[in-house]
Amino acid sequence: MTNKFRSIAVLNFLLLLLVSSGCISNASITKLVKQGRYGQLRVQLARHLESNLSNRNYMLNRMSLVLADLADGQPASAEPTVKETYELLRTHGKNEDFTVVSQALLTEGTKFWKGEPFEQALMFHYIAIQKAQLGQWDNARAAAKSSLFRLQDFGLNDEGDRKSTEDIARAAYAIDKSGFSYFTDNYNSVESNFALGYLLAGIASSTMGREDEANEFYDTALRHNYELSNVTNQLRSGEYNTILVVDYGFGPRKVGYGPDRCLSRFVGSWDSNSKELSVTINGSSTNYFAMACDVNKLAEDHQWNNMDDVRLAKSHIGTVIVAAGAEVARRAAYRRNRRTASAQAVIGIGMMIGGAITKAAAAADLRHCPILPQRIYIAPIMIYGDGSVVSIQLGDEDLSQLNLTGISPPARWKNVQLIYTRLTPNRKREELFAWEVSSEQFYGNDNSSTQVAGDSLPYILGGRCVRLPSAETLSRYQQAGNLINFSVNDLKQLYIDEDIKLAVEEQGGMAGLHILEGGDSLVSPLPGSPGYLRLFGQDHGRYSPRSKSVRELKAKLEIKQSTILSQTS
Amino acid sequence: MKRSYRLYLGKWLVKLFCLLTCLTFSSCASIPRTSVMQTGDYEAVSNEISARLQNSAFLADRSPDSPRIVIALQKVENLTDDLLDESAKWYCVERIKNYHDLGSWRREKNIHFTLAAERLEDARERNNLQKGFMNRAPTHVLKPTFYSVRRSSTSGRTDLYYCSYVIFNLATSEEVWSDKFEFKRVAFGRSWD
Repeated sequence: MTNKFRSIAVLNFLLLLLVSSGCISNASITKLVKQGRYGQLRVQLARHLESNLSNRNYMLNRMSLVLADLADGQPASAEPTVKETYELLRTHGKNEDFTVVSQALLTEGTKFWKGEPFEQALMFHYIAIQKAQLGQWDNARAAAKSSLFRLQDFGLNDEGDRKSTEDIARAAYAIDKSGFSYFTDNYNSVESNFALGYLLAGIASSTMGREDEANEFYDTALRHNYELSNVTNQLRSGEYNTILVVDYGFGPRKVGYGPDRCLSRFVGSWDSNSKELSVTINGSSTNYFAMACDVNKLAEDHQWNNMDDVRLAKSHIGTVIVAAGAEVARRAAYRRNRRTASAQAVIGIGMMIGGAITKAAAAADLRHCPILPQRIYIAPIMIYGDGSVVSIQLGDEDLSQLNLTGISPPARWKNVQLIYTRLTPNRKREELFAWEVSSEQFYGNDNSSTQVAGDSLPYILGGRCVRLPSAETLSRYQQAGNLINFSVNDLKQLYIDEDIKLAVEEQGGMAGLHILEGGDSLVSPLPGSPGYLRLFGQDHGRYSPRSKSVRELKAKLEIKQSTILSQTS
Repeated sequence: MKRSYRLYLGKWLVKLFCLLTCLTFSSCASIPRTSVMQTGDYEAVSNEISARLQNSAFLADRSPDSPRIVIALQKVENLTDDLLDESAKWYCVERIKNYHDLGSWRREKNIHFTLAAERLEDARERNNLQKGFMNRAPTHVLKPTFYSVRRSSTSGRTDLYYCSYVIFNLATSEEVWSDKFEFKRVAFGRSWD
C-alpha cells in the first residue's frame, strides 16, 4: 500500500473513531438494559448527551437517561435531566383544543422535537415517578396530570378499522393537495385514554389528602381500562403504604412504510398479552395485579403518533403521485416523437436523480426511545417490617422475576412511598442473574437497616459497609472495636484521599458509578430498584485503595484481623 | 435630486431600516413560548405578600407585650399543573420571614419562627439539629398554596396563577390572617410551521 493510501486509511479510521465515540448506539443501550447494568448505561448516556436542540436525539437521549437513572435507583441524579426535559415538554406545544404536538419553537427560533405523543405522556409519567420517589407528591400530581393531554382522533377508515397514518396522509392529499387544512379540520379532540396517567394522578391526589379528586381519577382510569378494578379497589380501600411501579419488556420499535418509506408506525418487539403481575411479601400471601399500560397498543394508534411527520409524508405522497403522472406523460411524449429520444433520455435521467434525492429526503425519521418498556404495572401493597422481601413475577415467566430486598415501611412522617423497578428484559438467557433472585444482602448501606456480616468496617478498608461517613456510622464501627481513635472527620478524610464522592451535588448533580462497580460514588441507590439489587445482592470482590493512607490503614487492619483470628484459633 | 440630498435621505433610510430591524428582532426574541412560572414570579409573589402582611391588621394589632406566638413555616403546597422546585417552594415562604430580621419580629411583635415539621424531621434524621430547636412548639402555621387555571385560545395559552397565604392558629384552627396574589403567564403561537 502506498503512503498516500495508508494515510487515507488511517484518516478514515480516525474519523470513524471520532464519529463513533460521539454517540452511543441503540444496540449498546439495549444490551446494557438486557444485562441490568443501568449504572454503566447512565454514565455512558450522560457522557454522550446530544447538545443540538434541533436534533431529535436531544429529547430521545434525555428520555433514555431518565429511565436509566430511575432503574438504577438514582432519582436525585435524574433531577437535572428531568428539569431540562420538563421545560421543553412545557414549551408551548398544544393546539387550541389542548391536543399536543410533537415539534415546538423556542424563543430563538430553534425548532425542536418533543417526542411522539405517547413518548411525551410516558415522559410525564416518569417525571411523576421521579418526583414521587423524592417525596414530592404535589409535583408528582402535576406531572401525572400533564400526561393527560387531549388526543387528535381522526376516526375510522372505510373498512371500519382505526385509520393508519397512511390513511390519514392519503385522505389529507385527496382533500387538500397543497395545504394542511385536513390536519386541523378533520379530527375530534378526545379525552386521553392513558389509564396509567389517571391512576398515578389519583394516587398523588390521595396522598395529598384530596380523596374526591383521587376517586374521579380512578373512575376515569376504570372507564378506559376496566381490568384495573382490583388496583382501584385496593387504592380506594387505603390499605397500602407502598406503590410498586413495575416496568417489563421493551417497547415497540419505529419502522418505515408506504411510498419510499415516507410514513412510520410502531410495531411491537415484545408481545402484548394479559398476564398479571404477582406480588408476594415475605413469602406469605400473593396478590395479582393487571397491567396498567400496554405501550404497544398505545403506540399503534394514530392518536398517539405525531402528525408533523404525517404532514411531511402527505407532501411526499403528493410528489410521488405527481412524479408518476409526469413519468406517464414522458413515456407518451417519447412514443409520439422518437427523434427527440435523446432529449427524453436526458429528462428521464434528470427525473431519476431528482427522484432518488426525493426518496432519500422523504424517508421517515425512525428514531425513537429504545428502552421504553412494553408494559407497566401499578401494585399498591402494605409493608409492615423493616428489611422485607417483596417477590414479583410476571405470570408464569421464569425469566421475569425479581426479589426486592431491604424494603421497609415509609419513614415516619411520610404515609406513602413509591418504589420503581424494572424486570430485566432478557429472554435469550438460560437463567436469571443471581442478584435478581438473591434474598441475601451483601453490603450494609444507608437505604437499608438490614445487618450484614462484615459491615462493621468500611468497604474501602476491607469490610462490607458502604454507608456514608457519619457519627452514626462511625459509632457502628467503634462498637465493633474498629477505628477506635477516629473522629468523623478522620473517617471522611479517608474517602477524600480516595477521591470518592459522597453526594450527588459533588458530582455535578448526577451520581457516577458506585465504588462497588469500580466507580467513585458512594451514593446508594433506592431499595427495590435493579440498581440496588445489582449492587448489594452480589459480591463485588475486594477494594483496591488508590491512596497511600488508605492502603496502609487497610494493611494494618488486615494484620490485626489475622492476629485476632490466629489467637482465637 | 441633488446629490447631497440623496445622501441625506439615504442615511435616514438606513437608520430607519436598522431601527425597524432591531424592533422586529427584539419583539421576535421576546415572544414567550412557555407559561410556566419563572423566578421573577416567585420574587414578585413573595414581595407583594410580605408587604401586605406588614400592613395587615394582624400585625398592626400586635406589640412587644402581645402573647408570644411561634409560627412554623410550611413550604408551598403545589396545586398548579406545573412542577415547582423544592427550593422555589421554600423561597416563597422564607422571604416572608426574612422581610425583617428575626430580632425585629421578636422585639416589635413578639413573633418567633420555627422549623416546619418535615424540615425538623429531616434535620433530626441527619443528626443536624441544634438543641434549641428541638423544644420549639409552634402555636401557628404559615401555609402557602399555589393554584393554577389554564385557558387556551387560537393565539396561545394562558395560565392563571393564584397564590394563597394563610396563618392558622393551631389550637383553634382559626385563620388569623390570609391574603392572595394572582398573575398570568402567557405563551404564544402554534407549535409547528
